Amino acid sequence: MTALRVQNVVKAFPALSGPVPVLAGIDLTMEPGEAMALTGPSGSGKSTLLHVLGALEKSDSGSIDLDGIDPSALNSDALADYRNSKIGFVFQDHHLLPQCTVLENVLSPGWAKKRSHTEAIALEARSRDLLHRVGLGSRLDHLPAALSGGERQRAAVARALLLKPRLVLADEPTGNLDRTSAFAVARLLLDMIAAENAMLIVVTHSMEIAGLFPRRYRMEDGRLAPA
Amino acid sequence: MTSLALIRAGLTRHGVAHAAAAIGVAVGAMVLAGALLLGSSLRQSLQASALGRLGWVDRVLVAERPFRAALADGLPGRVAPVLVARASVRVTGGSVLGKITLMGVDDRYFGADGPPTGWPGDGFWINEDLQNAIGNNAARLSITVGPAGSGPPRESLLGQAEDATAPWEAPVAGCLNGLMSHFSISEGVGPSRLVVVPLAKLQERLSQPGRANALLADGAAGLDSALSGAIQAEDHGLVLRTPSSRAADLFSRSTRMSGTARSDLFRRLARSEAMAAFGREGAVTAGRLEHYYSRDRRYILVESSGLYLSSARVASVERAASKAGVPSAPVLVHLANAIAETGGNGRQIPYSVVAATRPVLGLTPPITNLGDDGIAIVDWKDSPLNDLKSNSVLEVRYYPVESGGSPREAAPARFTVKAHIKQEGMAIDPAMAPEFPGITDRAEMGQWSAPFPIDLKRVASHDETYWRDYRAAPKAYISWEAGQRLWAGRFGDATSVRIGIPEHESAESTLERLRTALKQELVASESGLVFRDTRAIALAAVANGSDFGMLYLGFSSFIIMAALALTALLFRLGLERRATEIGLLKAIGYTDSHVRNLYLAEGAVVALVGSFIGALASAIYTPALLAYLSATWPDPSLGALLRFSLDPLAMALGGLSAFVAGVVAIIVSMRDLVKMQPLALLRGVTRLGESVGPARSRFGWLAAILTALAGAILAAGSPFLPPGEPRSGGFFTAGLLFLAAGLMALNALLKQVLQWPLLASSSWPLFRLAARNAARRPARSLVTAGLLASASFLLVAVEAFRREAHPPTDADALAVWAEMEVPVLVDPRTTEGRTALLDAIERTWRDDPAEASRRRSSASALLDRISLIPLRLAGEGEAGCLNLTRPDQPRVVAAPAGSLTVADLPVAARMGGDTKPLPALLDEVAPGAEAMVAGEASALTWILKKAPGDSLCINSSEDAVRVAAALHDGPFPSELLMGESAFLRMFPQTEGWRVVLVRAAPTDIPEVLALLRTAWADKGAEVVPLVDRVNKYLAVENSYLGTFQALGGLGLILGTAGLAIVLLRAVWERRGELALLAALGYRPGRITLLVLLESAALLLAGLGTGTIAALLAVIPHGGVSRSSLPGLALTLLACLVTGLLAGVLSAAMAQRARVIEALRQDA
Repeated sequence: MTALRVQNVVKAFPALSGPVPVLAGIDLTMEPGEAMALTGPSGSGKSTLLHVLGALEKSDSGSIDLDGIDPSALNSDALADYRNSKIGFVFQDHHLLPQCTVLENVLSPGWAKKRSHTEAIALEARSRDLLHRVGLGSRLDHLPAALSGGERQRAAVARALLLKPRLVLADEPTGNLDRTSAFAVARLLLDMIAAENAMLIVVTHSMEIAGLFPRRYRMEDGRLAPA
Repeated sequence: MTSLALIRAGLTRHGVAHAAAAIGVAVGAMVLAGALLLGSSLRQSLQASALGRLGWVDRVLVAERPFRAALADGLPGRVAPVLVARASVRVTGGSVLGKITLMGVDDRYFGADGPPTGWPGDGFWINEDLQNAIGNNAARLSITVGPAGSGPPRESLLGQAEDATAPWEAPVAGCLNGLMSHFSISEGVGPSRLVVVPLAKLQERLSQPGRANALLADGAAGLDSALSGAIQAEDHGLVLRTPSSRAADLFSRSTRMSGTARSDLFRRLARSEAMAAFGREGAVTAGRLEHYYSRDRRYILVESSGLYLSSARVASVERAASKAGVPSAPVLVHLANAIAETGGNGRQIPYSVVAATRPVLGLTPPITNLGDDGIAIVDWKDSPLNDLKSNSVLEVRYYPVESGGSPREAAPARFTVKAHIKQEGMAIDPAMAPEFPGITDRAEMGQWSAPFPIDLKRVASHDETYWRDYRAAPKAYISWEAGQRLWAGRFGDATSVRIGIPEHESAESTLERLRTALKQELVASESGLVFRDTRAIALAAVANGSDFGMLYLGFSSFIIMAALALTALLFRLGLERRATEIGLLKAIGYTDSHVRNLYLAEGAVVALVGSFIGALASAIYTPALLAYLSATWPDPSLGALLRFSLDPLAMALGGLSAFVAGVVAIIVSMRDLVKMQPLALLRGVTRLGESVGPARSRFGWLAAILTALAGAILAAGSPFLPPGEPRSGGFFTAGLLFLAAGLMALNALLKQVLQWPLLASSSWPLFRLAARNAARRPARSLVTAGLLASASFLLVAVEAFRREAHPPTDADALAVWAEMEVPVLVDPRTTEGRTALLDAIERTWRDDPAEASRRRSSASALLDRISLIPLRLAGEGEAGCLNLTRPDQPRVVAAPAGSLTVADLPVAARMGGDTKPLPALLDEVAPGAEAMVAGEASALTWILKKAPGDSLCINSSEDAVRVAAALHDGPFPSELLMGESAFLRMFPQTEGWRVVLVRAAPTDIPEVLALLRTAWADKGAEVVPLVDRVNKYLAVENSYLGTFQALGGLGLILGTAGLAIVLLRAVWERRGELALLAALGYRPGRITLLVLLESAALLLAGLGTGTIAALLAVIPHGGVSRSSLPGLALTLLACLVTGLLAGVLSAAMAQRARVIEALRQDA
C-alpha cells in the first residue's frame, strides 16, 4: 500500500533576477517501513524537498499525498495538525528547547493540543520508552545543555517519533556529529523507523551514512535520480 | 579601523536600536526639562501677575488712619494719593461678591496713560476682573463699603457700635483698562477686583474731606527723605490746637450750622467760658474768645482724630515737648455712670467726666498725693458730694472703654477722697475732655445722643445746670496711674496731652517749636507712614513661593526613572544583539576598558541626541502640562494667569541632566556584558549564567516574608501615628515594604518556576511553559515587572493621600464660616448682638410685617440651637495652599478665649516642651511673651515654610510669633490662629469681628446659611459651609495628587511600552523556538497564546504586585475613594490591554517569518 505519493512537485524561490527553480518535478512513492537517503550537492534542493514534504514550505505545483491527505489543500490550523500527527522532524541542529528537560522536550509535540489525562499519561509513558530505547533512559531530567551533541540528536529523534508519525524527515541529522555518533544516530533512526513502521527520508552529505539506507537517491537538476 | 570609525559604524549600522534607546532618553529629558520649564513658566506668570497688579507703582504707603491727601504733593516722582476701603458687591440673585477693593483716586493714579475716556463720569469704574466675576455686564452696582479707619474706635464706648453705612448704589460708569486696571494694594497674584471712583467722591462718602489713607509712588530717589520732611503731626492722626485755633474752630463750625450763629456757639461753649470771654453783655467775637483762651487756657492741646492716643504717641509728644523746653501733661478722661458714696446715704452724681492726669502747673488742676486710690472731687454748686469728708470712700461706676455695642458695667472702682478742688482755673476746663459730637455739642444732658445706654431719669436739674455752665469739665480727678489701670488699653492711654505755652512766647512760636520736635520724635512707622517696597515684596513673594519646578520634578520622578530604565533596557538589548561583535573585539586584543569606552561613546551619542530632542520636545510637553494644571486647579482664575514661557536655561539644564542620567543608565546596562569572556560572547551568550536550571530560592522567600511582616507591623501601627503626613507616610512606607516583599517573592517565584514540571500530571502545560519562558531571563523579567509594579503601586497608594473633608455629624461641630468686609461690632454672642441679627432679619421683610415676625421667631429659635464664635481677622495674605506665593502679611484670626475646644483643632504636630491643650496654649499668653499661632500643616510647610517651633513675622511691625502647632484638616486652611488677647496686643486697631464661625447641627446648616446671608448682607458677608471651605483647599492637594497620578500613569504606560519592547525583543530572540513549535505542529493560535501567556504573566505579576501592595497599605488608612476607582481601574486595564496587545503583535510578527528561515537563523 503506497502511503506516500509525490507527483511532479515543483518549487522555485523568488529572486531579483527571476524565480530560481529548486525542485523541477519530484516524483516519489514510499511504503510504510521504507527508509530512504537523499544526497546531492549543496543547494541542490534536498532540504527544500524535505520542507515541502513536511509542509513547512508550499510547492508551486504538483501533488503530495500522505495517507490520502494533500497538505496543500489544508488551512494553517489543519496544516499544523497534519505536521503534528503525520510528520516527525529531526533537524541538523536538534532544536531542543533549552528551558525544558530531555523528557519534556520529547513530550513537547504532545502539548500542541489539549489532551485528556489518559492521553497525557500514555504520551508520557511513550516518551520514557522512546528515550529508553534511544539510550537516554538515565538522562530524563537533564537539560539539553548537559548533553553531548549525539545525545541531543537522539533526544530529537525520540521527539520526532512521539506521536507515531507516518513520515519522519531528517535533515542532515548527523551533520554536526563525529563519525561514531553519526553512525549511531543513523542506525538508531533506521531501527526506530522499522519498529514504528514509519517512513523515513534522511538528507545527508555523507555517502557512508547514505550507504546504510536501502533506498538512495540523488538530487540532480531538481529531480530525483537513483544514487 | 580607528575607534572613531568603529563608533561611527556602530551608530550607523544599529541606528534603529539606538533610536529606540534615544527615545527613552528623550522622554526622560522631556519630562525633566518640562518640570523645570513648568516651574519657570509658573514663576514668570506669577511674577507678571504680581507686577501687573502694581502697574507703575513701585512703593506703597498704607497708613493706619487717614492723613492729608496733600502729603502727596511735593514728593519726588509720581505719587498718587488714594483712599482705600474694602467692599463687597451684591450681584443679581442676591449673592455677595467680597474681597473687592474700592479706591478713590485722582488723575495721578492713572500714570502716563491718563484717566480713561469718560473719567470721572457718574458712577463706579470697575476693572475687567470684577466685570468677569459679576458677569453679564451689570449696569448698576450696589456696593457695601468697609471702614476707612477714622473716628473713635468703634468697639470703644464712644464708638459707633454698628455701622450705619447704607449700600452705595450707582451705575457702572465704565470699565478700566490700561496699566492700572489690575492694581491691587494687597499682596497676592491673580485677579484683583477693583472699583475706582474719584477721590473727592469717596472722601465725601466716607466723611474724610481732603484725606487719603494710602500713597502710591514710583520709587523716585529721595522719596523717603522727602516724605519724612513733609509729614506733619496731623498726618499721624494728631490734632494740635492752640488757643486761637480752638477759638476759630468754634466760630467756624458754628456758622455752618443751621439756626443763628450765636445759639450754635453757645450750644458748644460752656456758659462759664462764655462769661469769662465775652462778659455779660460783651461782643461775641472769635478774637475775644481767643484772648480768653490765651490768657486762661494757655496751652496747646494735642488730641487724636481717633479719640485715644497710644502710649507710644503720648511718649513721643512728651519727648517733643521736653525737647521744645515746654511742660506737658497727659490726660485720660472717661465718663463715669456714677460717682457714688459707698456708705451713708448713697449720694451720687450721674454721668460725670473723671480725668486722670498729673499735676502740672498751668496745665492741670493742683492734684497731688492722690496715690493709686485717691480721688479729688471738684466742689460745684449743688453737688451732692460737696460735704464729703476726706477719706470717705467713693465708687466710680463706669462702662469699660472697650464696650462696643453691649456695654456692661465693670466692677466699680473705689477711691478715697483725698482732696476737694475749688471750681476755678484748670479744674473747670471743659477742654479736659475731647469734643464728641452728640454729647459735647449739646446744650443739655437730656439732648445727649450717646452710643451707649443712659438713663436720663437719673439726671437732676443741678446736673443740667453744671452741664450748662461747665459742659464736660471733669467733676473728679484721679492719678494718672489710677487712670491707666482703669481705662488704658489697646485703643490708647490718653485722650489728650496738654503742652504749656511759655509766657514770653506766642502760641504760634511754641507750636512751631513743638512741630519741629514732633517731626523728630514721632515714629512714622507707628502710623504706617512709611513706603514699603511693594515691587520687591511682590517679587520676593513669588521667589519664595511654592517651587513648582521641584514639585513637578518630584511628581515626574517615576516617569523619569521609567524612561531611564527603558533606555538602559533598550541599549542593553541592542548590545546583546552585538555580542559576537564585542566578543570579537575582545578576542583580537581590545581591553575591557577600550571596549567599554567604544560602546560608551556610542551610548553618549545616543544620550546626547535623545536629551537634545527631549529638551526641545519639552516646549510642547510643558504647555500640555500647564493646560492640565489649569484645568485641574481648584481656583479657575489660575488658568487665566498661567502662561508658558520658554526658558532656554531650564531646557538646557533638563537636557543636560537627562544626558548625564542617560549615560549612567547606559554604563550600568553594559557593565556586566563587557566583562564577559570573549568565547562566550562569540557564542552569543549575553548573560552571566542564564537561569535555565533550578536555582535556590529559599532565602528569597524568607526575605520576602520578613519584609512583608515588617510592612504589616508598620501598617498596623500607622493609625497610631500623628495625623497628616506622619500617618500617611507610615502607610506609604508600609506599602513600599509590601511592594518590596512582592518583588522579592516574584524573584523567588521566577527561580522556582523553572522547576515546575511539564509532565502528563501537570495541569495547563502551555501556561507552565509560558511561565518558564518568562523566568528564563529573571533580571529582565524582574525589571519589567518591577517597573509595572512600582507604577501601579504609586497610582493606587497615592489615593491614600487624597483627602476630603466630610460634613459634620456632630451637633456641636463647627459647621459654617461667615466672612464679612464690614466687621460685626456687637458681639453676636451677647443679647445686643442677637437682637441686632434678629432686627436685620426683620428689616429684610419690613414690607410684610407678618412674614417679618414669623421669620424673626424662626431665626430666634435657630439662634437658640446654634452657637456663634466671632473671630478677629488681620492681614491680607492667604496662608493656604491656593496661594502660590509666600504671603508677606498672612491672615491671622483670633477666637475669644475658651471658645474653641481641643476637638476643633486636630493637631498633626506640636512644638516641643509644652503639653498644654492647644486652645489654652494659644489663649494664655502673658503680656510681653511671644504670641503663639497654629496653622494648617500643609500651609505651614509649603507656603510659609515653617514648622512647629519656628518663629515668623506676620505684620509690618515685624512682631514675631511662634508656631505652636500644625493642624491637620482643621477649620483654618488659609489663616493662622492666635489667641485673642495676643491678637489685640499685636493688632490694637482692629475693629470688630470679620469672621464668625457657627456650631450647628447638620440639619440646621441650610437655615444658618440663609439666616446669616440675609442678616449680614449689608456687611458683604460670604457665608459658606465650613466643609466646602476646607475642601477647596484640600482640592489643591488632591490636584497635586492627580498630577502625580497622571504622570505616574504616563510612567506606567512607559513601563508597558518597555514591556512591549522586551516582549518583542524576547520573541524575536526566540523566533527559532517558535518556528520549532510550528514545525512540531503547534497551531498559530496556540503559539500566539503561548506568547500571550508569557506577557500576561509578567503584566499580571507586575500590576498585581503593585496594586495589591498598595491596597494592603491603604485599606487600613481608609482605602481608595470610590470616585477614583473607575479612573484607576481604567488606567490599569489600559496597561494590561496594551501589554497583551504587544504580546499578540510580537507573536504575529515572529510567525510571519518563514519557519525554515527562523530555524536557520536560530541555529
